[in-house]
Amino acid sequence: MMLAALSCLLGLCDTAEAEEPYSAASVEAVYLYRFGGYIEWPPEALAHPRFTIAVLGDDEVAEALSRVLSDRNIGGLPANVRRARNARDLGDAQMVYIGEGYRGDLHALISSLEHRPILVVTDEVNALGSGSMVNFVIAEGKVRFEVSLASATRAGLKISSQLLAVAVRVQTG
Amino acid sequence: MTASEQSTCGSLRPAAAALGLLLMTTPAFATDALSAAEGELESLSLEQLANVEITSVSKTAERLSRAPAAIYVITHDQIIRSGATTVAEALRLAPNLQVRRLTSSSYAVSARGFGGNQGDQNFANKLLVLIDGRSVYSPLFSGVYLDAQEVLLEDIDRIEVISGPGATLWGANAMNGVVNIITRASYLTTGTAVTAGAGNQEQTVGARYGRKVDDQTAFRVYGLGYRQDALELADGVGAHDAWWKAQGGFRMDWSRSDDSFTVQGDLYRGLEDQPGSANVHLTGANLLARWQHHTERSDTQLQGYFDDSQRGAPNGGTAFVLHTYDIELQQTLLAGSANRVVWGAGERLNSYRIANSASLLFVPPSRSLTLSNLFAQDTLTLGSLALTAGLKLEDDPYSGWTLQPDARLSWMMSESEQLWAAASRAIRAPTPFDRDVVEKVGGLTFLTGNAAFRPERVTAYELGYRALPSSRFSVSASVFYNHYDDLRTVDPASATVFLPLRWGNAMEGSTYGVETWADLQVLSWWRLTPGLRTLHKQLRFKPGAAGLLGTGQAGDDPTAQGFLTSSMDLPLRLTWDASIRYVNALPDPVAPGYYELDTRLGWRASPQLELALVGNDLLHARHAEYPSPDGEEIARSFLLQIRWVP
Repeated sequence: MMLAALSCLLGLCDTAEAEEPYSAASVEAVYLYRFGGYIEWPPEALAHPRFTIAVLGDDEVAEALSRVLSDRNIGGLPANVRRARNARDLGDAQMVYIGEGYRGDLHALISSLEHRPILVVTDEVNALGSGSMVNFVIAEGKVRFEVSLASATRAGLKISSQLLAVAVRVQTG
Repeated sequence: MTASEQSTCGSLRPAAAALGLLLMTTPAFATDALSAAEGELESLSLEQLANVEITSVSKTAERLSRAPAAIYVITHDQIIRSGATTVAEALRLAPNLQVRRLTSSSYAVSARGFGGNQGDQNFANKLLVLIDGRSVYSPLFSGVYLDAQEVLLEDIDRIEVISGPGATLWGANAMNGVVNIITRASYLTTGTAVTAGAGNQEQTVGARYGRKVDDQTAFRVYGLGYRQDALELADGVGAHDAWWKAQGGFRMDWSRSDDSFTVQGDLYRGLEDQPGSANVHLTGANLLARWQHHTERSDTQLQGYFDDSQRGAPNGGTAFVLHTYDIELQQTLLAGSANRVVWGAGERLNSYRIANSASLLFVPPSRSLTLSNLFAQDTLTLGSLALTAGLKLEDDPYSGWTLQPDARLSWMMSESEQLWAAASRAIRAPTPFDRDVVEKVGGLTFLTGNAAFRPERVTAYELGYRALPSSRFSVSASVFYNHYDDLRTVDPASATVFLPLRWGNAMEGSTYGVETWADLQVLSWWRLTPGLRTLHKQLRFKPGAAGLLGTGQAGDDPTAQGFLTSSMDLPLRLTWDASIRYVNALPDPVAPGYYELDTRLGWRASPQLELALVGNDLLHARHAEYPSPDGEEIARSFLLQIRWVP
């Protein structure tokens, strides 16, 4: 309580209130939803009744995402989450998030997608080198992301320049 | 308890909870709090999302921790929140390492024992340390001069600590373990950060400036300096081993499509007081370049570095200049759907010149030694089973080609449980200290190197289990049984003549033990990490050996050590970390066991400014971590740290 009073005297109460920390999983879940607005999928990828984000290897993100996506649309389709265990479970997902808990070989999993129009989002050091398109990185206590335009282009996805402007790094094609 | 929750405002709730210890009731309210938070998050733009502060206690490097080996990953946040000011102190965070401070500037770091026996001239020489892929294991005396190897802690991404042989991928001297210190790519360290610390035992300062040149290019430059006071003798008098160091460096990263390039380098200078002899000067520089190329089915890495390392007392004392040139190629190939092949080759040239003193000589005093290696490893994955088999061929300058095989089996018992087993062989290669050294006492030759000295060898068997029953709890346990042969001993000149003594390979035996640790997110803002390791050594002299100095010369190691660390994110932007550790008694030479407590209270006064108060080794006025002849002890210390990010 003493510290609270002291920090207010120093004019720090407002910043302290406004920036109460969030969990990385909830920030990443919101990012995943927002990415949908900055990516252009080829029309055939959206010729499905739903927009599906498959989540592998991170239950916390999957839970947060299912709350975020309730009653939301992506690409004009009602959005939903699918928990997957491997490449065979991805079905017609338009986006896949591979968390740190995924037990298989990341490089092999992405390679098995064979350039299908699926946005691959990861959360691992050096994942762009394994073929990921958007990779979360934690820097200075914040969740940022890096983008491989080369990998996204090969899969037939267009990424808006607004998204690229926020990325910490963009690997061009 | 419920009443107290309801009556306090949101930001004070964790403090009330801490007082009440409400382990059972919390998960529910944590979930509710999360979804309320997400509501706010959803209204943010991408730019705003990128500036949202996240809790730091919840992120672990989980994927890295899943290799079929006893690997522990020290994260960036753990290092910062420990209050450590040097890499050596940060290594105390690994439950599978033994870290002891011998003097103000020197540490003995080891895995699975063999932490050295200073009096018998046996040093901690079975652990390999790499900084961004550059080996800092000294090829001269075998061991690591950690005082010459500093990294701006701000810029470290993680430290991977592998206990057990890592010879196949990392090469010789990764006999009992490997420490991999990995810094962040420069595009993740943009902006200015200034840190400073002042305390009763040390003063530190560090600054880094990083910038993105364009979307594909970024760089950083940094400088650091510190001064550490002398340790104390048992009566509180200074041990006359204070030292300072100044260091600067840079890193630059480019990425172009499927290629990325890194260039980095460091330059340092230091001066260390020595009790009873001339001061020791350290200087050094290194430059490393790395190219990585990615294709759909492969990853290729080519890396080269130059390292200049100099140390010595200027007038009449022993001094050395060491130049290392190293080039390595490594490639990962996906073969079919089930195989992953890693192969590589490397060549290293160590060129040194030693200025001999009257009592410590190397004959010859200069040499150029080449070290070549070739390795291949395949991982075959079949459902929940993964079998890794690897072989390394290494040509060291003294003992020629050695074969170091490694086999590992991993079984994912379920989504959250893994069982692994490994068998491997590794060596500690001979060095000039083993082969060329001549030590004199008053003109009399007392000890000499041995031209027939062979590598020290280990065959290691490991079994490990880890489980991640929820995102809030993980546990890892492994047992090992190591059989050693040709361990270094001090032998008489021959059966009939005692002096000069010489090095021999007359010891063998086995060690076994347990290494276990867990990570428990008790509450969303409170994490507990316990760690424990045990070690039992059964070493003996080979038949016919003289058995001088006893088997204790192979290392004076405790049979057990453990710690418990608590990390809390408190209201008012406070963080509080505390770690208590116990180290069992040392057998030979004898030293009592000890408990010690380190703690850090951090306050994020504003987004730009963090203040922290650190207390180290708080339980005793002084404690010794090794019974050195001079009787140096580590005093209780306090440090005020400031971190400013304008």
